[in-house]
Order: sequence, then C-alpha cells, then structure tokens
Amino acid sequence: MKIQKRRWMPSFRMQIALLFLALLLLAVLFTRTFFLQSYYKYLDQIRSGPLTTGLRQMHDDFKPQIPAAQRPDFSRQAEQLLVEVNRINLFSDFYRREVTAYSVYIIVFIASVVMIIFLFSLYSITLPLQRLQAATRALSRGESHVQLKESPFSPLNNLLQSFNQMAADLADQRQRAIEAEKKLLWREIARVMAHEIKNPLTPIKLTVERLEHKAAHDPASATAVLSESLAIIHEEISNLQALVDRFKDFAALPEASPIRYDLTEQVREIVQHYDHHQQCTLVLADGLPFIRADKMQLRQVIVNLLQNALQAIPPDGRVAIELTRCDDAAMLQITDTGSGIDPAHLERIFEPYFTTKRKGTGLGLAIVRQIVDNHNGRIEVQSQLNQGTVFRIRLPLPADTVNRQEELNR
Amino acid sequence: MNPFLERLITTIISIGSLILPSISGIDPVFGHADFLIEGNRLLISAALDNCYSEDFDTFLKSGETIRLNFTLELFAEKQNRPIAKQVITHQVRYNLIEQRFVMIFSEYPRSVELATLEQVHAQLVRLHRVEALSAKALKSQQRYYLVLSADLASLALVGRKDPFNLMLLWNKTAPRSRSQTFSLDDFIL
Repeated sequence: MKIQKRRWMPSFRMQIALLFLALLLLAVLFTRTFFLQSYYKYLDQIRSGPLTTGLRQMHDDFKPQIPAAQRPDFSRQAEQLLVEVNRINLFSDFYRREVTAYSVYIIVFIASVVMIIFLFSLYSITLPLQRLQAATRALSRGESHVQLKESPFSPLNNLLQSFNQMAADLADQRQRAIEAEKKLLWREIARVMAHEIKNPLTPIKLTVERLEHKAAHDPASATAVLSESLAIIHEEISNLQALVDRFKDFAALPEASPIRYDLTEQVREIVQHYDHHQQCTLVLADGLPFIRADKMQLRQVIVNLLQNALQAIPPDGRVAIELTRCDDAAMLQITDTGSGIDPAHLERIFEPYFTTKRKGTGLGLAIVRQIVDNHNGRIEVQSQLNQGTVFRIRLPLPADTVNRQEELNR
Repeated sequence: MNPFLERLITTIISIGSLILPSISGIDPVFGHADFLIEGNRLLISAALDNCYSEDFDTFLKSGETIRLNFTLELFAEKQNRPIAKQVITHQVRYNLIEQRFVMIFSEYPRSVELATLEQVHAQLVRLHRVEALSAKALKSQQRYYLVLSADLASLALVGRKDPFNLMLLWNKTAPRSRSQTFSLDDFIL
C-alpha cells in the first residue's frame, strides 16, 4: 500500500502573519542599519588613536627642554591628558556597544507590540470568517436556526448581520415550503382515500338500489337476489376493512424486533406457500449465515415483492428468487418476466400512495422500503418494459456472523 | 522625554540586558584556593583562572586605576554570619607616558612596576601566602570554613552618569571558593 505523506501547509492566518513579520523586521533592520552606520562613522571620527601617539611623542620631544625640577609635573600633566583621551575612546567604544544592544531591545519590543496588534486585527477578521464558513456548512446540512454572534467592534459586523438575515429568511422559506408540502401531501392522501373508498361504495350503492328496485316492483324475486346482494355488500365491506388496515399499517409501522434467524428457510417456506402454479425458480446459496432482523417485517417484504412479481407475469411467465451472500450482506433478488415498469414511474414506485394498479393503495412498496431502511438495508429496482423487473434487497449480516453450521448447532 | 516613555525604555533596556547583554563577559573561577595556619597566622594562596578578556585588557591599558578586591570570610560551621572578614586589594594603573604598569598590593607595603601585560595578568589575580586573618580568635573545638571571593570595583568614566560596572566583564558574577571545614586541631602536628 502506498502511503502518501501530507505536506504541511501553514494556515492563511499564519502565512499573513509570517509575511508581515518578515516585512516588519526587514524595514526595522534597514532603518537601524542606516542610522547606526551613520552614528558609528561619527564615533569613529571622534576616536583619537593618533592623538595618543602624538601626545606621547610631543612629551618625549619637549621633556629634555624642561628644567629637571619641573619634569615630573610635566610628565604627570601629559599623562593626565592621555588618560582623558583614553577615557573618550573607552566611552565611545562602550557607548557604541550599548546603542547597538539597546536598539535591538527596542526593535524587539516594538516588533512584538506591532505583531500582537497585527495578530489581534487579523484574528478579528479571520475568526468571524471561520464562523461564517462553519455556519454556511451548517446551513447546507439543513440546519435551520443558524445565527452568528454579532459584534459592533468586528470589522465584518455588516457581513455577519447580512448572513444572519439571510439565514433567518432561508429558515422562514424552508418552513413555508414544508408547510406547503404537508398540505400537498394531505390533499394527495385525501384524493387517494376518496378514490379507494369510492370503489367499494359504488357496488354497494348499486346493489342496494337494485334491492330497493326489486322490493318495489318485484317483491317475489327480491328474496332471490337478497343473498347475492348481501354477499356483494359483505365482500366490499371486507375490501374497505382491508383498505383501512393497510393505511393503519403504514401509519404505524411497529418498531422492529430483530432476532437471529435463518433467512434461507424463510424464503423457501414463503415461495412454497405462494407458488401455486409452479412459476417460481428458487436459487438458495449454500451456507448463508443467519441474519438479524424482524422476522415478521421481512416476511411482509418478501411476500409483497413476490406477490407483485406473480401478478405482473403472464400465465407462462417466470419468477426467479435468488438468495446469495454479497460481502457482508445477504442479497435477495426477485426477477420477473412481466411487462416491466414505465421508466417515468420507476422513480416514484416507492413513494407512498403511488400506484399504477387499478386496485392498489400505493403503500405496498413504500412499506417495503421503510422496513428495509429500518434494517439498515438497501433496495433497488431495475426494469425494462415488456421484459421484466428485478428487485434487489441487500441486508447487512450481523457483525458477529459465524458460519451457518455453527449457527445451526446453536 | 515623557516620564512614562522614559520609564518604559528603561524597563525594556533592563529586561533586554538580562537576555542579551551589551558586553559579552566571561566566567572566572578560582583555580586553587589553599590556606594554612602557621603559628597565629592564617595564610592563604589562591589564583583566578579564565578572568581576562580583550575588553579587560583594554581597561588595563587605558590608564585608569583598576581595583580587584579579594574578600576572605571566616564562618563557624552551621552559621550564616561571618565571624571575621578581610579584604585584600590589588590595583593596577598603566602609565601612558612611561608605558609601564604600576601595581599596588594591599598586603605589601611597596608598589611594583611591571613592563608587560602578561606580568600584570600573572600578578593581579594571584595571592601567595598572604596573611589574611589572625588565628588567635579560633577556638580549638569549633569547626570553621573559609569563603574567598573576588570582585572588580566600578570605574567612573567622564560623560557617564553612573560609574561603569567592571563586573560586566565577569557577567556580574563574583567568583567564589569555599573551603572544607576545619578545626584548629587539624593544624597541630
């Protein structure tokens, strides 16, 4: 495996700070060098090396001409002069060193103060920008109530105020959009409900009208049709009851109660039960480990998909059910040779209340998807018109999966 | 100058001097420091090593009088205050006319003239069997120790408000030597 080293890059703030520091030092050093050079030149001029030699020479030249009694005084005075000259030299030399050192202290102090002020200013700009960046990310993640702390002292306060206003407007618009979507959804539900309820009501109404008509015009034959009419009414009431149950199921899908069980056996049992006309081909992989899921909910999923497939195929059509292992997941694939799904409808088939069947609530596949999602699984569909449809469900195997034989031994 | 500004600059210079001094000094040490009791006299022999620098030589040849003080303190064991103290001074001045060094030792009555700087180097920092303290005060049962230190006296320069602190040449640190503890009985043969 090739390991790629990440190159260290200083942050924007650090880059600016380093650049500023470099420029500051450059400017200060230039100024210091310029002034000190001039000053040193002056000091060198007043240093008096030749004066010492000259004075000594003069003393030696004049000493023989001085009366012997006055020579010690003459020498003492000459020496005193030389000491004074040397003091000037010493003074200028050490003063020069002190000036050099002191200028460094002052420069370091000024540079530190300027740097602190600069960093504070830079921080006051970059910190709000970082917060702004984080807030923008939060907005893009869908968080609605994002507000930044405003500060009248910040140079970016106007920007912060504008962002806060924008975020508030966005939250308001999002809330309105949700409200509008809810209204739309309720209208759709009402439309589907009205349509679904109307279907069984129409035959009930017609049957009742027929009974009334018979009772009014041919009472003798009314008794004969009574039994048949009651059966129709009873069946339609059952349909209505089933419709209500399906809506109730979708509205309150119970919490999954996962257990560890043999999915292979469940699939085999369901297919045997529903394949009345021997139209199914069952392929079960050997040694598929047990899965951890709500057995009843997964049964609902398999039955729903299998029933849809069996309903979609012509009398000579086939349905293939395949259960295999795919990495760390169990893969259930149901393929039919039916009429396929219109590509325009393919994207919407998992939406609640969407159906292309004459008698359908549009909740079956919505419930299937919800159950698969609750199990951290994935469902996908591929379909071609007049060729058939494939549904694939991928369910993750438990983390402590062991081989099938060990599971069976448990 | 504004008093606040003056105070600020003084503070900056004080702090700066601690970190980066204007004169790079050296750290002298006592190469040896021995003492001996002869009769009633406590004699000391000692010499400083690593004590000369270019700057020091400049001062030595400037014509100014340079004073080196050796301070000897006698302590009784487990006591912080010295019970006796003696300061020995060596001073040197360069005669710019005669171009000779004149040295005065507090322990000797006469001054000494030296021709070269090397001779001054050897003599200035050396104590040889110098009678430092009287041994009369020492009690036979008591244990003692000696502390010897050396420092350079400050030098007044024209044009400077404060005298120049020659100890800057030694990083403002006086070399110090502490003897082993001893008693008077240790020296009785």
